[in-house]
Amino acid sequence: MSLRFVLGKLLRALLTLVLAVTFVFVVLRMSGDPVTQMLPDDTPASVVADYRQMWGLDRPLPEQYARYVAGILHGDFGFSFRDDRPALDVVLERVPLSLELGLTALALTIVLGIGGGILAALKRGTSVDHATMAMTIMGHSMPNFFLGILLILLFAMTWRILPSSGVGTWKHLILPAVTLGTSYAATVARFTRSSLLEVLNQPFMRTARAKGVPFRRRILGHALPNAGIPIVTVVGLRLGALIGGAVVVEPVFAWPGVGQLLVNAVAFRDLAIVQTIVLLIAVTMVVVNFMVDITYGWLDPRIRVDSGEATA
Amino acid sequence: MSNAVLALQDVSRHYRGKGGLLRKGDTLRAVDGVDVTLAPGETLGIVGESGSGKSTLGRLAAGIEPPSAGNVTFKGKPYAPIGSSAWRRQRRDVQVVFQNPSQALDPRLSIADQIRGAMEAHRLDTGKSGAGSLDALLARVGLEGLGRRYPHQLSGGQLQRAVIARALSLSPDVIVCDEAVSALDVSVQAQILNLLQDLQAEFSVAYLFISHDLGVVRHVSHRIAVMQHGRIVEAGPAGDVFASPRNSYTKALIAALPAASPSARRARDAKRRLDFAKV
Ligand SMILES: Nc1ncnc2c1ncn2[C@@H]1O[C@H](COP(=O)(O)OP(=O)(O)OP(=O)(O)O)[C@@H](O)[C@H]1O
Ligand SMILES: [Mg+2]
Repeated sequence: MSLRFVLGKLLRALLTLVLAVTFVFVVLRMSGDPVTQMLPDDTPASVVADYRQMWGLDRPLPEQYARYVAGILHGDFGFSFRDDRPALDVVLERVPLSLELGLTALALTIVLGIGGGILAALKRGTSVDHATMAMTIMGHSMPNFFLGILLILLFAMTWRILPSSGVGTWKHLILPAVTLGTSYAATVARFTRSSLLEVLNQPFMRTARAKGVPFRRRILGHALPNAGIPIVTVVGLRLGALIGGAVVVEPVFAWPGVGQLLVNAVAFRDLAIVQTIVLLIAVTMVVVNFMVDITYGWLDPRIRVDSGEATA
Repeated sequence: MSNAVLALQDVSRHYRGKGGLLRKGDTLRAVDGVDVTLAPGETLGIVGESGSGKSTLGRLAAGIEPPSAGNVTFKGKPYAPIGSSAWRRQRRDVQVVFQNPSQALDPRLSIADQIRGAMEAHRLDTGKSGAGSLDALLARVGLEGLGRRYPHQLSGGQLQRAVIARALSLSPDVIVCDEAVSALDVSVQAQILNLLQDLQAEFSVAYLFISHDLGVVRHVSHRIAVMQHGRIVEAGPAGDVFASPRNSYTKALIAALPAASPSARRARDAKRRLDFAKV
């Protein structure tokens, strides 16, 4: 892979990051005065003014922006008034739990989604295909929280074999991971199936068969890598939402991760926390997008290699 | 013909129409009782209008589709059941070259890797392709030094050369060429046809050369078979078929030749321009 290709993508990633940071700044200023939003409604005007001065909100916008960016560069993401601690500390201590849940769910998504998609495509038109696709429609149309509640009802309340909430053992992980993982597996399965079918119908696949290339090799060596780009794209979307993506599932299972923190912070107008989480999500997205771009290049020489001069 | 490398005896291929265009229950006789033999190292041209069953005949001959009736024998033996490992091994001896070379190659792999992949599928030593080393083979088909290129970096003519090199790397006895030059420019067509002819003696390979373009078929074939509605209506040495066609359909094909196919028309126009330049 050419250095130029990687550097180009890296530059784009950095630019996106700068835009995201600026966007957060602008939106938070536009959504009203942070001071009046955070303080109770009956706070005296003089106190409001004091706070405004303390947080530098009385300064001109460009100066505020410069301080904000400088703060971020120094790891200062503001102060959580609810926890009375730096917002970054509050958010970062939630990250491992969210990652644990997110990665487990993602593994489930990949195994079920890609596996199911491949199976359906290879068994196209059979009952295996129909059953898999029926399941994806169900997974697609059932809301995340509903499946979560259903699982709690069955496994925690009725059969009492798994805990319904909290963290601690691997048993606590099962229900939220299944809820989160299966919801997206449906999408991945559909993408995998359709992109694989498209490749299987390509003349070069028929040619490979006519040349006596064994089935396994045709699928693993030709079909899947060629079907890879749409699959990597959908899985990448999920990977980007790894940290902030469990906003619904975490509260349902009382899983104390970033998603739950975000919901609480919004409810309590803890702006520094909201801002930190939004930036964290933005960084994850940008990093994952960069990785996806690099994977594209690795998968497809048409993306990675310029077309040379072609003459007959 | 006992020395034939490939023989089709009274071979038919029927398709069941499923609703839609054809009413249910109708069978379409794409190939209908065809006898064809191919001697080692010769070129048999198959011509006929669109839908006459040429491609179907090609697939039957290559063994990638089973006949509904009749026998296809390769070196005196029928093909093994499709999909079996014996069948897979037989794929080495009969190669196929189709119309659109850009779709016949995996876009992800370099030209050299595609050729290596085909050879590895048959456990051949990738150091020794049909023409010696892989580099030598590429040079032989006019792709010297282009082995590391990807398909999107080559022209249509170069791609078809790569497809031909990949077929030759397996040292086949027969190559079924189905409209192998039809997607190419006239000038490139001539180059590829000449290349195929040059390679024939060198690699002692027989061609089943399928085209709707009588001009192209005449250029390369020793013998010609004319197809219509799934049957062979006339067959014989290329010169005879052209000089004294017996069948009225063949006569019509020949009469329509100069203007009928765009490639022939372009060739004719090019020739006129040349003649004009000479004056
Ligand atoms: N797999 C298939 N299923 C059903 N019908 C088919 C199939 N393959 C070919 N046919 C039909 O068989 C007939 C012969 O098709 P074939 O492709 O062999 O013709 P052809 O002479 O190669 O035509 P062309 O010059 O357009 O390539 C056509 O009517 C076609 O629609
Ligand atoms: Mg055809």
